[in-house]
Amino acid sequence: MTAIVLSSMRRKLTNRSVLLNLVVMPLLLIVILGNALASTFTSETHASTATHETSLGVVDLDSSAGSRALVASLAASGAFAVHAYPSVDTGRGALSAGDVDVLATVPSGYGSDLADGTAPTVGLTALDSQVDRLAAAQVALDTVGDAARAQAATGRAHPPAYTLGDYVGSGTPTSTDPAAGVTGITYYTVTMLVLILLYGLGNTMNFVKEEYDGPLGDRYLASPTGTLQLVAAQVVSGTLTSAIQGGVVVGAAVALFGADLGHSPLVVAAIVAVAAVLFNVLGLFLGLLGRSRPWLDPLVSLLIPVMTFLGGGFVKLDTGRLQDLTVNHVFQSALFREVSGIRPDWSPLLTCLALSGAVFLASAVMVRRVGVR
Amino acid sequence: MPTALECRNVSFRYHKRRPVLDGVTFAVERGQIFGLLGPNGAGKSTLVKILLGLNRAGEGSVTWFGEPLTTRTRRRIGYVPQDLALLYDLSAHDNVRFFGRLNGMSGKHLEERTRTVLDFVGLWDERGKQPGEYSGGMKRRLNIACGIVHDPDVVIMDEPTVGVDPQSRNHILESIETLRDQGTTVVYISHYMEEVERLCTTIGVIDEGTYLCGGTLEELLHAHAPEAIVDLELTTGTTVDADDLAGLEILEQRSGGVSVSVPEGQLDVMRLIADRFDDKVQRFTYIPPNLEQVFFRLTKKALRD
Amino acid sequence: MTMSVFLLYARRLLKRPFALLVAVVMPLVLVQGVVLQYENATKLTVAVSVPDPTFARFVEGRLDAAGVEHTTVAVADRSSAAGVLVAVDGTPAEVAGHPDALDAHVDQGSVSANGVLLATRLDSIVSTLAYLAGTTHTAQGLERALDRYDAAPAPVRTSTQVLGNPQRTVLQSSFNMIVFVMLLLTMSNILVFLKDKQMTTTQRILVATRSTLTYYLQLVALFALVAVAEFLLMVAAMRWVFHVPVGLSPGRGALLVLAYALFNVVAISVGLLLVSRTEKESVGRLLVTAVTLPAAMLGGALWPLTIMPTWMQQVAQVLPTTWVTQLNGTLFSGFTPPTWDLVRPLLLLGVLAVVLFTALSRLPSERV
Repeated sequence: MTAIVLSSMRRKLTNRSVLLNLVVMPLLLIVILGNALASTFTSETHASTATHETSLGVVDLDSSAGSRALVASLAASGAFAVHAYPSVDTGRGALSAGDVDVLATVPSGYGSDLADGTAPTVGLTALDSQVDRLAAAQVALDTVGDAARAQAATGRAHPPAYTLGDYVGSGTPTSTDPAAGVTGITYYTVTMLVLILLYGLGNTMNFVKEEYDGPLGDRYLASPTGTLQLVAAQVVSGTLTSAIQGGVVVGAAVALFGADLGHSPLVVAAIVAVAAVLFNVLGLFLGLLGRSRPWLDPLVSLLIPVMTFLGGGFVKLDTGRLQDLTVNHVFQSALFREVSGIRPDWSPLLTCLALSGAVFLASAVMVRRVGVR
Repeated sequence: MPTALECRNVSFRYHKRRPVLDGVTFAVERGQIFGLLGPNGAGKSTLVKILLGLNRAGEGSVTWFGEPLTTRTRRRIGYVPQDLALLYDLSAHDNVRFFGRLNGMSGKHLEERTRTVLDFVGLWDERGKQPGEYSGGMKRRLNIACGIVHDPDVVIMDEPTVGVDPQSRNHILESIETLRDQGTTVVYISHYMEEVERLCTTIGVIDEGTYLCGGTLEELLHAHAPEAIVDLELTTGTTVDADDLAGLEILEQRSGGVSVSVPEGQLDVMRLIADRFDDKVQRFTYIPPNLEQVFFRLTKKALRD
Repeated sequence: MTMSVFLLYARRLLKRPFALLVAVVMPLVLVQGVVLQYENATKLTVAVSVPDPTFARFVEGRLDAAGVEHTTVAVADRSSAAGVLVAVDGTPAEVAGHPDALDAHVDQGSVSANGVLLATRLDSIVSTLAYLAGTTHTAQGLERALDRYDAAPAPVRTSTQVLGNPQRTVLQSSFNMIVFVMLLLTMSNILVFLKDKQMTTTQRILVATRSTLTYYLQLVALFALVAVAEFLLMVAAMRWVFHVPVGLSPGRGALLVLAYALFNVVAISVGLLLVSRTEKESVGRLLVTAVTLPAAMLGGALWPLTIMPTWMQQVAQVLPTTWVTQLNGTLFSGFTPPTWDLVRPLLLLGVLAVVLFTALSRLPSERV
């Protein structure tokens, strides 16, 4: 078995294209992703709400005491950074230029309508790319009438003095998303690490298919080396190769780009090891299955980037239950927990190991089934 | 002489299809070159897989040196597959060493054997090259070296000369003769009757999964092709009539030619042919008894069909 | 003979049922991911943890009136609730006349601009509750005050207006995703050509074809057709599966189809040029990955170009993926774009297709 492991390792690690594909490419992707999407990660947590104010352009067509009070209350709410514009045209110009997220137009007669009890309507406008912000801004802006309404409900002479912010706590990362709060480089180091390990599945699959489909496989199987040893050698060499590649990528990402993978290298190594074993065992199984099913090859080639995408590997997105269907998610979550200092949850990883064992045994049975191809 | 390989009543079929092998029985004695002759699709490669334990026989048994196939017996068997089974990203030297290790070899013994077999197939000087840099014949020779590096007692060679140039083919055949001289038993699978005739001590003939007959070349010829053939190509415009053919056993009559059987020792038939066709024949070919005829007699079809 | 290469490869593409299935299912799954993400991002949802039924009714009533969806969270689960959370403890009997007894807090969850806006609304609701508690003395009095508040008209109303196409983001993201899918599928298909090259099948086909140019013309035509089919599939899926109106006029639709067809022509031409560089499948795979992923990432197929640093956006201007994704943005924006913004990407794609095609037709036949 050692002979096969050593020879396989040597063949894999001296293959320039494999090295390029599995070490240089992920590093390149980490750099591209980390830089391109850095802006979506900065100040995700531990930031003051001030950095998350909505930029609100205000066109006050009334300029009354009432409208000025409205603008002042919006500015005081802590939710809006208010910018005044003299006319609707200049306001829309600012909107189109991206200077403000939402434009509020206070209609002329606002103050008198308010005094008369005729509810004036404040118009909110946003570009089509800011539909979600517009809806949220409307919900927040509706608060401006709350105090007056409460006054009306109680019949008191003066409106209450609300201090918005009394009840609002600071944002904290929630336990359902362990990836919240990590930097872009760290996020992509994790997702690209899982991607490399997943590509290990594809590589082992191709390698096993080439080795065991045809005369070379016959020669292996005709040798005195036992079946279990033969398949174990493939898994061991694949896992070691994946571990080396993972180590290089993590090392480079940490040393060169400042990725932070937590404080327990052993936990990270254990997660990587489980992923490497699972993916290589699956690669072995699919490679053996692929001897008689050539369609598996293109399918796996496509599924790897697709699963990475759905698992939030390329863009940090939440695809809900679709995400849970991706194998990337299991290992990304485990790594993000470690990075965020959340206690590891070993049960999915142990399930993966058990699955690896079962698939390994199935492969050992299947490797001899060349005759029924 | 003790038996190296015994195949008893072996049958095999894929799922519920027609049997690929049907009750194949033969034995190979040690030190022999046993030739298994059959056309393409006869079931030779399937039989090889069963002999090596790569396929499991539906019925029957295979024993090597009187034992079923075990790790111990596997060490005594070498296998040279029909297609090239090489690692293209390793040098020839590393290929041989790898397959040596796969067969349980190590250390100095492995190094010595690696040199010996690479010398044996004439590739020692080119050992640093990868198989991709070799010619077709050199690859075939390396394929053989990888199969015999562990000094097996028996080597199964499945069509080792397919697609090689005459020079390399001759080199391979000479190597096999040397192996025989060194006491190695060789199971030589081929559909080239000339090679089987040249090399093999005993010959088995297989077709459509059935083992038709076995024995030495002489025994087979005597039992199944006791006659020679005279093939006559007639001069243009000439015809043969019933009188010309009277008293002769005609194997084939075609426009412009006729094949006549000449039973062993019957020289008067030759005389008859000479008398009747002297002025009608453009070309006269005498074909002595051979395996082709054995095969034709047994299956009513040509070996190369 | 005339269309034999076209028919041969069309048959081969169609005869790979799993690849075909992937070609149909993959864009649907990926776009489903985009649509879900969009819905999650645009849906305003808060978690409500208010055990008292009177207060719960008031809080939920205010949220319903504001069009904010809400989920109910048990007291024990507050710490693990995702997103913005409002928690109110106390009963009308406890807090009437004693507003300090109202134990309430609003948690913004992971901080985002939308979270801050929602939290502002919740804070106002809780403040109202506290104010009304302070102005009453009994539980019944507080409940009546809450009912009166509910019944009172809002003193200020708001109206919203979207400039452009309200479906822009989801449409643009989905069609950008199709650019990624198309690139991935087309580039994966080049491995078929690589296998043909290894087996010298290509040589045999070339011998039987009138010229290398006709060979390429037929291949390119096939992949242009594949692009049109993918595009139409997506339009149908958006309409009937995801229920997002595409809202393109026939003229704009035709423009986009043309752009996708040209883009796929560019993709297959680049793929064939890559095939000419190698005979090894492993190297082919590497080249495909090395071209596909950066082109998709930098070209705005996976995320908006605008979120990238300026230098990256400048680099992206030379990528054909960028031209198509920019055209998607222009066409789905809902504004009337300058003609040049429509013509420019098509022109660039056309010129690049011609350049690549010329490069292909000049390749020595043994490298094809």
